[in-house]
Amino acid sequence: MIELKNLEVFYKDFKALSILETIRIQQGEKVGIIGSNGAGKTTLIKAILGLAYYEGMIQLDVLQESIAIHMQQNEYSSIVSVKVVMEAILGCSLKQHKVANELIDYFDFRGCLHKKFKHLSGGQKQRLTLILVMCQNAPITIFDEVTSGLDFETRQRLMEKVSEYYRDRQQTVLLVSHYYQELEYLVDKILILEKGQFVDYGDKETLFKKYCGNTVYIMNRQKELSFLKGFKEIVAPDHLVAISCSNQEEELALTKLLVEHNVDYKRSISDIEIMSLNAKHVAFNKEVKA
Amino acid sequence: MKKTFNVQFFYYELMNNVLNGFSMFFGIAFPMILSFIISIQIKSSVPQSMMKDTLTSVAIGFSLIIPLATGFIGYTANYATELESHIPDRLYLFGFSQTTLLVYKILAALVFLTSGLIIFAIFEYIALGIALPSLKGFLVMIVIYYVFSIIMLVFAHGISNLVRKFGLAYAITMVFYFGFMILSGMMGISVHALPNALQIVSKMLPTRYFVEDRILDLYKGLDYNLAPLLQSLLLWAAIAVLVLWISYYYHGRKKSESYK
Repeated sequence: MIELKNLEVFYKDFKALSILETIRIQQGEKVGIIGSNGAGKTTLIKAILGLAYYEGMIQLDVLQESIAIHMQQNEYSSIVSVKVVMEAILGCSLKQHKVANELIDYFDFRGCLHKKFKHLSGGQKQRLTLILVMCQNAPITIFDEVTSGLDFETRQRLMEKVSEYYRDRQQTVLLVSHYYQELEYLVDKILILEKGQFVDYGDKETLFKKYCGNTVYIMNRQKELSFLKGFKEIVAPDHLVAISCSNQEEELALTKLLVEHNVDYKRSISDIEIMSLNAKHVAFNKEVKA
Repeated sequence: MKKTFNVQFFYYELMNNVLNGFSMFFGIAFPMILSFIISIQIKSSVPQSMMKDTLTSVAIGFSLIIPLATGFIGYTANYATELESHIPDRLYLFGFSQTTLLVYKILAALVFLTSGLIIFAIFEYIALGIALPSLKGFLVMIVIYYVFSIIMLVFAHGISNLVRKFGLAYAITMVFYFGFMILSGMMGISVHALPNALQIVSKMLPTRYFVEDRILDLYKGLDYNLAPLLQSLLLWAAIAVLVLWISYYYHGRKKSESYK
């Protein structure tokens, strides 16, 4: 279990993160940590790992050294081959490590073993750390922006594999990302941070209901959407319009109108991006547009 | 998971040393080339009766370049580059503590250094015809040699870990390197020709005692006062440990509540 209480993280005199609420992450939970750049996501991870100075309490029921972590940037020696690096970290010959071999095949990495780290592509570098992190079979595993800098297709493939691997395992996973779609694959709970402040924490579904209602309808912001008057518009990215529906009748009425006006739309009961935007909006005391 | 000793990690560190061109050239080839060039000059200017002792004395002095170049400069070049790329940080996150990494690095550097010393000794014996040591002299000198090397490695590790920038760490170690060489009389200026204040500093350097003619007495197993050399080793051991401790203090991990 991870418990955070009255946590304040500092870089010299600058307070980079403040979580005054108590947050408990139970064993086996998969938690997404989201927020814009500078929200404090990586800072929180560093504090949990003991790599950033903090005040308050971070309680772990495991040793910090037993937490497996995939950081945004992971560098290894390029003097020796990737195989030598892997064997050094795993502490045995690759031939003897059954799990490592399974993961090497799972991530299609065997062709990279005799290359040097500096000669690997961005996706291959990420896969190397993923394999090493997953081999640790740690009680807590943290993925910090695993897919940053990768193209869409590689991102999708990697996250599908990671999600598939952890879905039914009893390991706690913290997944930091600002690609919200990646979170939908795997996480049960969401911690929202913004500008170094705590916004909200809870079940994905509960948070969605709290900020978006039962369902949300999302469409491109077009010139003529006046027919939506009377429906509850909630915060969305500038190029989109999001309408919150609290019951089936409302949904049917809205759908009918959208079909009549020939508008492309998406219906969602779990859109993390819209949910987090509205959570942040509420937390920073702005009125949700009605 | 917290990592304990494994052969694979030792091999990884050893390969990082072996494939480091700097250590290979400056730690192994350079002292052999330098001592060979000096020996040519000695052979034309020193009487035959003193030749063997003079060449042996020169070889003992130049053997110090091996720990200084591989264990101090080479180690700093390697480790500071790794630190700048955050490679050790990544390894800590795989459960390797700073102390574990230090032990692996020192062991690998010592094996590399031993290889360098063996190659150097064979070369000096064949090419320069140096005298063989007595058993007592060999054992005492080899212990002192390794103690000095470990001190230099710890010092280099501490400096690199403290500043964490290749350029600055390299500059600091080069200042010490040339300081050791100049103040020990290895750069053509006799320690007796140094100003009084610098002579006092010189007495604090272990390298000075390797360059003095009297080191031949130790080499041959004759009476030799080890006290000044041991005192200088103790002083540098204290400096190295202090620098290392300060570096750990500034760059250590904060323990979470449950495991404080």
